[in-house]
Amino acid sequence: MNSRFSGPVSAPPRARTVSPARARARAIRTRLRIVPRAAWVCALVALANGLAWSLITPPFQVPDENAHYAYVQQLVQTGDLPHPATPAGALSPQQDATLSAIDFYWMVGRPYNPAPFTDLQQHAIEQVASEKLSARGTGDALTADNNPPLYYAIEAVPYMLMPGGGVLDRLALMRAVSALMGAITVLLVFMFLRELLPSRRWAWSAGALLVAFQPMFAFISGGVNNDNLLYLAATGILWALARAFRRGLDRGGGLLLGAFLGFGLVAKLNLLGFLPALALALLLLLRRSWASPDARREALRGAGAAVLLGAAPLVVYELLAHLLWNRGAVPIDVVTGRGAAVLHKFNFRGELSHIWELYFAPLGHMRDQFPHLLPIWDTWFRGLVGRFGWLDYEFPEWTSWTVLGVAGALVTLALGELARCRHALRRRIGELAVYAGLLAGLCVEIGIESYHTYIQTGGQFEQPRYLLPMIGLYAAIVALAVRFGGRRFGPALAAAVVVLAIGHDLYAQAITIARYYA
Amino acid sequence: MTLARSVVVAGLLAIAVAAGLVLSRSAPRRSGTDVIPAENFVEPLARGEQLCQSHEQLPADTQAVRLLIDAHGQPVGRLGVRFTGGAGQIITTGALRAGSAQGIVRIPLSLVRDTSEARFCLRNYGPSTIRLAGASDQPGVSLSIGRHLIEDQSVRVEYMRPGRESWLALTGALAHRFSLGRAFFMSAWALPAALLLLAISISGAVYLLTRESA
Repeated sequence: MNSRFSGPVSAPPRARTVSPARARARAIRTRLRIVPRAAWVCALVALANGLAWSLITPPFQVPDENAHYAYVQQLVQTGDLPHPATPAGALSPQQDATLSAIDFYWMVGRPYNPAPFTDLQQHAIEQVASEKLSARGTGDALTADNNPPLYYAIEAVPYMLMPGGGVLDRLALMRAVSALMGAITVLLVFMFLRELLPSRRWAWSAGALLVAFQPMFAFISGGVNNDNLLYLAATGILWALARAFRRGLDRGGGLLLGAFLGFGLVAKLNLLGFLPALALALLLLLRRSWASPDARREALRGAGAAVLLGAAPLVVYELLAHLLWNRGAVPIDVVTGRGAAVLHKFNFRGELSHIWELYFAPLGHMRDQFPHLLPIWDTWFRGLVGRFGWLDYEFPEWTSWTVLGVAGALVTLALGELARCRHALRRRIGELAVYAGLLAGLCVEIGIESYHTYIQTGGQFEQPRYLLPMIGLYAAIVALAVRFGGRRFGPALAAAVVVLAIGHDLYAQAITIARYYA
Repeated sequence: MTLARSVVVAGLLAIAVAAGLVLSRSAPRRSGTDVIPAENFVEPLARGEQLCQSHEQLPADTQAVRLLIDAHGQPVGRLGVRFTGGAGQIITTGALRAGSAQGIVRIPLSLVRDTSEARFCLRNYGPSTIRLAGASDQPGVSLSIGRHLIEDQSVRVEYMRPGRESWLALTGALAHRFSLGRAFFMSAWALPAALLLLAISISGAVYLLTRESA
């Protein structure tokens, strides 16, 4: 019998005193139960795969890992953010000596040079670790200088967990935290698909597992790189948007959206590219609830919460950067770089053309800005199929053609599913426009940075991993494709796609082992 | 068995067969390199001359060196190779018979038992001048031809294990290489741990696929 309805026949039972900590833990457990077990399993799969990548990839062989490590070291050792030096300053003696000992400078960009093979090299590495060199450098964190500090503040925890540890010991723990972020991203992909495409649970698992086994994603999640927190935040935004479009915008939904946006912006500024589409989303969500006064009030609260929470961390960062850390939020001017002369003069039409040509063939009046490559194929598609290390090894080209065939089949199936659900699609066209807008905004943001790098250095900026914030949409295409199989063939289609992804991931790990250890 | 389970079983079998084929394929395997990039050719080595460079890390289990040689389109003449230790003692020697085509050449050595720092010397016994690939503008390295010291140049030397080996036969060496340059708490078990984690991730995926198709 429920004790609430039992009369006072005897002395009332003594209320069990529950400590606030225990009550909080129970509340957290209750909240976590809203996440299906399948989502946790997908996250565990991603965590295990990310950790495997972190062990397979030698230290500092994830792009810019040396710079990201230097940022964390600077933050922990001085409490200060990095300050760019002109020309680029030295890292700490401890990190520099370790990089030399592991042959870092001989390996980067030289796929024919393996990781250390001999005990003599190991002896040199151990000698550097035992020398207790200074962990303070010039304060420069190279390519990471411009990043906001949230990812590095989180990575400071594993760094500090090993007070007497060497660079490689700390890096290993920091990589584990990145893998954890990758796992949370996969969990959020599952939650996003659950809101976006209700009623076919195996499609959610298939989409989330595809992300867990996407080699480029897993490779990055096994390394120290602030992209990991960016992917998490961007996927969280997708989930919050899908949730709001399905259930209506309320204060809770607004807080969720604002929180992911807020911490995402202070993880990496690339997320600024999301802002126009997010503004459109808020307008559409407000318009939808405008007819009913209650819903309108709730939606306004939600929108307000999203805007406030989304902007607050960036504002706080801007203030702290100026007042406490004595630097701008973006200390290196992306146009003029480190004070070096600009190679090409800025030209707005040239910039527009550059952004366009990063993704499409040049139009009639445009100068071909990438005469020796087709970015959509060479940079983006082949890169996302798998280009690893410091972009110095990749699959043979036939692999990309094979993946193109599979991807073409999946996109066709996904379009078939959209055609089948065209009535529902018509109702959700605004939501679809928002997702397309997020992708477009990100592409434009990448294009702007790419153009500024081009006029500043003549070099290439864009890397395939910059598109991974939209990995939730990739999962959505896969989930749509397997839904096309219906209840009868859908699970088998999902199984086939995931097994192919497992094979792709194992193949990527095999070429990585061949690259560094054979 | 449901269709999805059949697909999972067939797919995993296909992966296992593919992995088996790859792992059993034999090829010459490296025991190390001196990490010098083969980007240019260093100073030419005329008939009878000897080129030497120090501070080579000669790995254990080496039974050949691999060099990239330009002989101006002619067959490469006879070459002699010698590695000596700090006290001048000979660690290993080998020779290439005359007549090899230019390009990547493999010069057999007597088997090296232990890793040691060594001085590498190569003598050109052939009739014509050859050029060896390496770095020609690399600060901090040097080589000598005869008594002539040449700064900023070094030859790329690749060290090769005996014969041809499959990946499976190389497992012990791979596990050792995985343990190098790691955090102290994972060095010995880096490869087994990576394999275990992969097994966990694949098992999790299979569990989910088969459970949800039931």
